[in-house]
Amino acid sequence: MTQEDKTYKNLIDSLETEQPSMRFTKNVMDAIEGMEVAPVSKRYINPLIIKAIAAVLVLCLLASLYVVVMSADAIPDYTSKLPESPLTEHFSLYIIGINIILLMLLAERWLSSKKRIQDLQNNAQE
Amino acid sequence: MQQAQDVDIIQSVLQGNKAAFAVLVERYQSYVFTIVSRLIPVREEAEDVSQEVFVKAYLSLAGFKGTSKFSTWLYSIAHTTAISHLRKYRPDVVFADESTMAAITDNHTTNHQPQYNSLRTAVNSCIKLLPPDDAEIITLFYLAEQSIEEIGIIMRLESNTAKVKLHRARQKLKDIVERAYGKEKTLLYRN
Repeated sequence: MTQEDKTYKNLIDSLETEQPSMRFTKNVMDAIEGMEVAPVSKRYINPLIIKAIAAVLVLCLLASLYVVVMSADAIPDYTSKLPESPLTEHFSLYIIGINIILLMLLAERWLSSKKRIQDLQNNAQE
Repeated sequence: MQQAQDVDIIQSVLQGNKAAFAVLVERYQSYVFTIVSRLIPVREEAEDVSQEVFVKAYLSLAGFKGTSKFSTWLYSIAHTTAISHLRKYRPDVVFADESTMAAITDNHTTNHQPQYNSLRTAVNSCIKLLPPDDAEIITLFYLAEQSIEEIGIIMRLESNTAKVKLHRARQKLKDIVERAYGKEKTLLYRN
């Protein structure tokens, strides 16, 4: 152990905790007299629902990728227009719709968590 | 071992044995009080805030999942409650930056010429001259025996930031003690 390490050890070994008053425990126990442990608040959205939505999103992405790959030519002809496929068109609409719903859920979740944090801060300040 | 005991006590409290909470208060009161005192130096105020910490811990005890040590969870409450208290009741308090703090420390040690009888007294007085967050991080690591990761959780810092901060705080404490107590005596000191 170097001299520097020994000095640090001396310093740290000298540190002591500060002691509150003798009545501290009694004061706390008096303060919680008549109070009850607050029940745990339930999660706003069930995690299973979030996982299911994520699974649907991944499936949609994979399906759209599959459709795009299967409908693509081996050697693309950039001079001609892409063939109009009603299936592809509907797929795009579905994906856009699902994404909008997911975005709304995300926004709602973000706002509710923000509100919860605000409430906790207000409670902490009271 | 200690962790298991804490969990047992918490279970007992959650099952309605309110008196068991006193064991946790007895066990952690000096640590919580020291952590709060590092941020709020006025003793009476620090004691009130420490009591508030335990009341909050009691009320939200059902929310303790056991994913961290009970002490880490409790010290997080202590840290946030002390910071909230400062923001609410002492909004004018601003933690000094390093250069200002160094000037204050120099002034204190030069003008007051403290004569400490022992290194123990010197260290425990000099830690109060550190910036509050430095004093808190030293307390958490060396007294409350929290790991760097746990300190990160308590003080809401990245682990690397906490590690660097602890290193600097320790160096600052050593410098202050050496100035106040004497470098030679500090080196020669044996517990």
